[in-house]
Amino acid sequence: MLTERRMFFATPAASLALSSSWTIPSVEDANVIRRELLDVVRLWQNGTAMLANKQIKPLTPPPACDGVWEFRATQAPPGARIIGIFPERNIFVATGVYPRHYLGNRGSRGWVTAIGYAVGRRAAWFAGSTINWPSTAKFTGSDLGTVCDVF
Amino acid sequence: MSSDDGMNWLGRATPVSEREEALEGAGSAARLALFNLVRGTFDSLSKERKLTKRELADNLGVSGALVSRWLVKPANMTIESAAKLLYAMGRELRLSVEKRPAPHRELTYGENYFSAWFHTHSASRRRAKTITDWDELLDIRTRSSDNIHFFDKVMYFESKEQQMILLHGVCSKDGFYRQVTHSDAMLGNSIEPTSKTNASPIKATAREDCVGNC
Repeated sequence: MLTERRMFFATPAASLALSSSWTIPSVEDANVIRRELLDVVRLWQNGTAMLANKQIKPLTPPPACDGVWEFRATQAPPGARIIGIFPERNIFVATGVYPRHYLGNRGSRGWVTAIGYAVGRRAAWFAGSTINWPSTAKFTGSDLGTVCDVF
Repeated sequence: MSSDDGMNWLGRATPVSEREEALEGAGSAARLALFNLVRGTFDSLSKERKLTKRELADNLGVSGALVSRWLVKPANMTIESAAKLLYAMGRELRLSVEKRPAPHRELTYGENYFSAWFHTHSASRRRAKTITDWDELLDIRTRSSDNIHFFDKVMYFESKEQQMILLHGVCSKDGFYRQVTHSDAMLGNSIEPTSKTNASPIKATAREDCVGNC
């Protein structure tokens, strides 16, 4: 029985990234970065105060990024991001984990791939829906309060 | 690992031991939480009262550079520095102990994860229940005299007591997920499946079907 108020899921590849040692060439603090990502996730799960737009934020601009969020590790360069979606309130599904320099500048191929993958996963998950679920649209907000309870 | 997820950078991953992970995380997450508390308080006070790092440093009798170091990197934050900074901001640090959450869960191929929201028309009787086990779902069906329908990937049943369970499960190649919403019937909407659905009674073998075909 799942009893937590906020739940964090990850696709197999994202899960592997979060639970494995990182060996990124030329990144000295790779595991420090991974550690920070996990810490940020843990704080979110706990409902601990987070720094707005510094540790978790919705990606912009809509509509391409609508409903795609990122958890951010920024303390050690180059930083990293967990990208994923809220398929429903209080539930985040990580679709990808990326060292920041692999994503490149906004709009570059890395970002487009990561966001496209998240959006594609969401589309696939809901593709079998035979009911027009009215709550789907609610989880595309830009404020943390629109995607999870703040307690 | 899927090739279109952009995660080729990961290469051959070496799993970290769970115990190592848990212990390391317990310390670093607590430090980050402490940092967030102090930094968040400072950010809100600097917005409200134009509090500056210089003022904090003066209040504490330390250098401005030290205050900056504390407020920039979580690694520099100790419980002592946090308490001092908060004191200088007119706040007090209070600690609490809570049950820790489970680590992240992996969505695995064919994983069955169902939720059900039990609604009644009486608000006082409203309750929510999450079902994660297929057997539990079948058990509910067995015990219930009501009809459960399995419409391809969407299930629901409606009881004679006007209770309703809506279950929605979606299988995909790399995972299974579901979404549950409030009772459409309560909103007066129809929950009849569209013509595309292939309605069939729920069967005990449905889980296997799902794993194999979704």
